[in-house]
Amino acid sequence: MIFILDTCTINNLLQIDLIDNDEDYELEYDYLDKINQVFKIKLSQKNYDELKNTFSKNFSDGNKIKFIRNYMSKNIPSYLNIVDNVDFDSSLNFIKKVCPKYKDEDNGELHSTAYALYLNRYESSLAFQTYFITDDDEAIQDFQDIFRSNFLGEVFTTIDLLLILSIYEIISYKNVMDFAHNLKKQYIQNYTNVLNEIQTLQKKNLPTKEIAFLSKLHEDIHHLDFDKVQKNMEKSEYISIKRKQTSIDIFLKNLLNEDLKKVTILDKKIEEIKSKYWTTDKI
Amino acid sequence: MNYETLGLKENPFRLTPPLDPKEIVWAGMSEVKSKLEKRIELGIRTRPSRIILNWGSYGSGKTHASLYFSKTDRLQELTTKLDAKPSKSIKITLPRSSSDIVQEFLRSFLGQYSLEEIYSDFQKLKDEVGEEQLVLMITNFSNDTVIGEVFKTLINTEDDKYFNILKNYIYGDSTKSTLNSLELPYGLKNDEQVANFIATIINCVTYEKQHYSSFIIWLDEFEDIDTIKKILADRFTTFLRQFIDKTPNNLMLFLNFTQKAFMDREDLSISLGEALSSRAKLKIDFENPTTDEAIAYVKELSNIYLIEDKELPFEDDALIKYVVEHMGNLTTRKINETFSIILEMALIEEKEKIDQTFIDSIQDEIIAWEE
Repeated sequence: MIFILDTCTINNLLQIDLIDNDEDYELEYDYLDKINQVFKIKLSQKNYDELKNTFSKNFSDGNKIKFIRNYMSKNIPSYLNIVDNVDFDSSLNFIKKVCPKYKDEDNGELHSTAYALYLNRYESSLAFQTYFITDDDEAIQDFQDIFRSNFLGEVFTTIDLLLILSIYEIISYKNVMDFAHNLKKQYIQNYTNVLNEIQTLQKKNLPTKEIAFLSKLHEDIHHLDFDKVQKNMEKSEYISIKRKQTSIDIFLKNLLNEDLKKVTILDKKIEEIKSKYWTTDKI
Repeated sequence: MNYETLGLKENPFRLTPPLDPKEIVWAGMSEVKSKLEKRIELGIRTRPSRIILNWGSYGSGKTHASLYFSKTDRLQELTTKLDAKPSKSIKITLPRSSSDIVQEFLRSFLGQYSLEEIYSDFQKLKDEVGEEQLVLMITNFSNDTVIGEVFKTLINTEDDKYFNILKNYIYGDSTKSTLNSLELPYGLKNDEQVANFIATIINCVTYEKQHYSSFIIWLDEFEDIDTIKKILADRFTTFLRQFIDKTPNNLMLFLNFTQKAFMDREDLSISLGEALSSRAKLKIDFENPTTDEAIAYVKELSNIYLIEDKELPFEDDALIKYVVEHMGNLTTRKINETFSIILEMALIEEKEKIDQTFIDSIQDEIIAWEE
């Protein structure tokens, strides 16, 4: 089996696995290494370039960034292979023709799909043996058909990949579910930060109206009503609160830039696994 | 602000606990109160330790419940009603900021149940059961020779200076001179030792329900277990599991958990770990009040603070209903905030009676107002 990993998958596999031993970091399971021992990991050049620009996105801790950077320098280049550019471009152009949405767009997901096609048509990789792993739901919708129609394989999520590892008994089912839970925690980090900030502020000696305003804000965020949240950010109470605690504005703006749909999708995947995936533990 | 013009001793809808915690009151929410008291009474009457999940939205009264049962005379009323020995109840907020989360928990525990109080309780226990029996209990429950020695030293300490050395040791001073003074080989650093230490206290003071009939810990803001570093969260849940295993009798641990979007009870099970979540099967829902329950809450709370011979400042029940129906989703916190604003505005406008006309005139000031 060949697994072509999207940028987001590599980032998730590394970031969720990172443990902090008093500022000394390590990977608890090193999933990439485990996958690579049994299967083949491949990466498109485009994804490799994206990875270099995005790996530190969720970190502010310099030591964490340093650790991940070192790990990646040591391991990721081995997933790259030399491709014939002319042949690769042919694959890429075919995908663009089939998916007009990508006519003028150029991203890692597109290149990963093109790479899968290239491997099958030009480097004789076997049918149904190439899997594209991504947590980008839009990409899954866009490219699933190409994988199936061209007998390449499938488009899976990172959780699916880990479930495959558990079938091969490389990791446990519990491990997979813990990963899913921790991934969800990461996805909702900004959401959690804002709510915590509001709760901290409400313990301070603020005027009643500002305390009531924070409760309203908390409720709107809890219900994911971000239109209301944005309207509330224009109110005088918010401006006054922001002056007293600037961090709330930073967290709120981060949250509003977040795409929380991925959390709902992840929740659905978790439910699907619980109801439809069978392990011998369920006997 | 002087609330007397509204016929009230003070603002009934406090947003923070009173300075004198004994003045914390309970209004409305009778179903939740009844469920909590049933659980507490069960803990007073029976032996097995229990973990109970208090589950509700933000502002639904979980922290208030912890303070009410820990700080007021209500717990004493319950034990008296059951003709049982008193119960001890403390509230601890989940440690969040320290890198040594278990030590922080220990300090919080001692912040609520001081070493002086523990010493006093152990002296009373010594009088009640005799020193020999107490030493046997300590040896049995401590499960650790060093912890055992700490307690045996504590019960025989009469010297203030020596007591302070012991206190320093428990609070983390394990310098050579402290250890030498106490003739102990090492300090109270290890998580399991802390679990043994706290378990020894609780097991001794609740032994056969002779001194305390039960020991209640309210662990507040427990949902934050998901926001702390995984390594610390794992460490804390392991410590909790050890502590609970070592305190099989007379302990009630209430975990206050605020529901968040995306995180449900299954996620809590993962955070708690299998061992703890299998023990935390009991749940009390702090449900949001209905309109009628909210009206009852407002009236009950206002009546507690009503000056004698005065009438409530609200024109009638219909007025309270009018406000409550325009608040959207109800929580006790939101009710308190809304009615605080209304009372403040009434004082500013020098109103003695609050009617619908007044409410309509200040709608823009009422943050929670919804059409």
